[in-house]
Amino acid sequence: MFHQLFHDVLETVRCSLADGDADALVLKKHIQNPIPKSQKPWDSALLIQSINSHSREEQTVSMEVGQMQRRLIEYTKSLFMEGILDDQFLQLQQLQDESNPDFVVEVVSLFFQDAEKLLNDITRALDQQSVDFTKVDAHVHQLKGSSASVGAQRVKNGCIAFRNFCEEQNVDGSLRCLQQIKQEYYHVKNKLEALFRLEQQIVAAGGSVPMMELSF
Amino acid sequence: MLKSKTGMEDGFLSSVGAGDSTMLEPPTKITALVVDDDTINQMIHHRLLDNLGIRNQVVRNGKEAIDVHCSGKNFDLILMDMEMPVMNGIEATRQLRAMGIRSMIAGVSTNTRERENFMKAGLDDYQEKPLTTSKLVSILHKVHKDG
Repeated sequence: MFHQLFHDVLETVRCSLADGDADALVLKKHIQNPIPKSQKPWDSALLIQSINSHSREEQTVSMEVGQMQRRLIEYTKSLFMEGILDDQFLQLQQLQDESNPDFVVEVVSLFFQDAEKLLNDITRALDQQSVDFTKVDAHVHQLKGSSASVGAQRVKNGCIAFRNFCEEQNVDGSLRCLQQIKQEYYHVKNKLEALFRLEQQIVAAGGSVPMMELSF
Repeated sequence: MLKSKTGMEDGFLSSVGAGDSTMLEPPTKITALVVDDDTINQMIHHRLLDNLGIRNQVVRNGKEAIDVHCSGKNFDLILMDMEMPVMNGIEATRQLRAMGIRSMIAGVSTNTRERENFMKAGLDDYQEKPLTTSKLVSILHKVHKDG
């Protein structure tokens, strides 16, 4: 009888999974809070009670997940409106899926490592008695490329301006530009880290990260 | 189609038979070589190709691209960066053409000044970085036409 009941439960959940994440959350919660071992595992009444007791809790959590998802969408949109991120970031998000669930975080982490090393290299190069602008320009070119690849628009634009100063061999202009780029870099880094934290919270609560649309 | 992001939900989906072959695209027969020294670009280009079901390999510079061909491998498409250490994209393209390689070579770069020289070295197409799915698709249309 237990097998029939368990089969029925699975059938119900399987059908309702097609409707969205709420029911996946029910089952996940059930898996996370299993029936105590002291009870007979084939006690069907206990199984029903255990699943039903989640229904009120599940509604609350569903609402929280919904709120977090909306907050994430608004937050991401604001980053685009402020010009901190551009379309390329959306491209990266679209390359993320079940088989590559951490793609965006991985690429962005590479960018953070790359950028910090390059900013240090540029700082050191500008600090020399005789500045080698070819070297500085090469570093800035690389930073421009990697910031463009992840959609860090303001950092990329800062690099474009910087290269003009390199061409003019203008040390003061370069130093000012470097300061500006550093600010923009730390700004986008903070924003992206906040974005990833929001995503983590949604996933931890059993929800899924909403996909941004390219409509704005 | 169900869009879950955590491994746990995936496991559950396959155990109830909900995740089936509709989740996976059958691989196409096109193969590609990514030639780029930048790890971020390597990762993105590799994923862009993967996403379209294209089996691909990644090398770090022009010399490695030559070596992989000398080892007997061949590719339908080569995505060639321009500025690389050891051997740059212009030189690598020239050498590959001299070796008789007729694959589609698409230059992918940000260096507009050298674009003409790059094309003259034997490119079939040129795209500005960063590469996107739509840019890649436009390159692939050319592969189909000639292939």
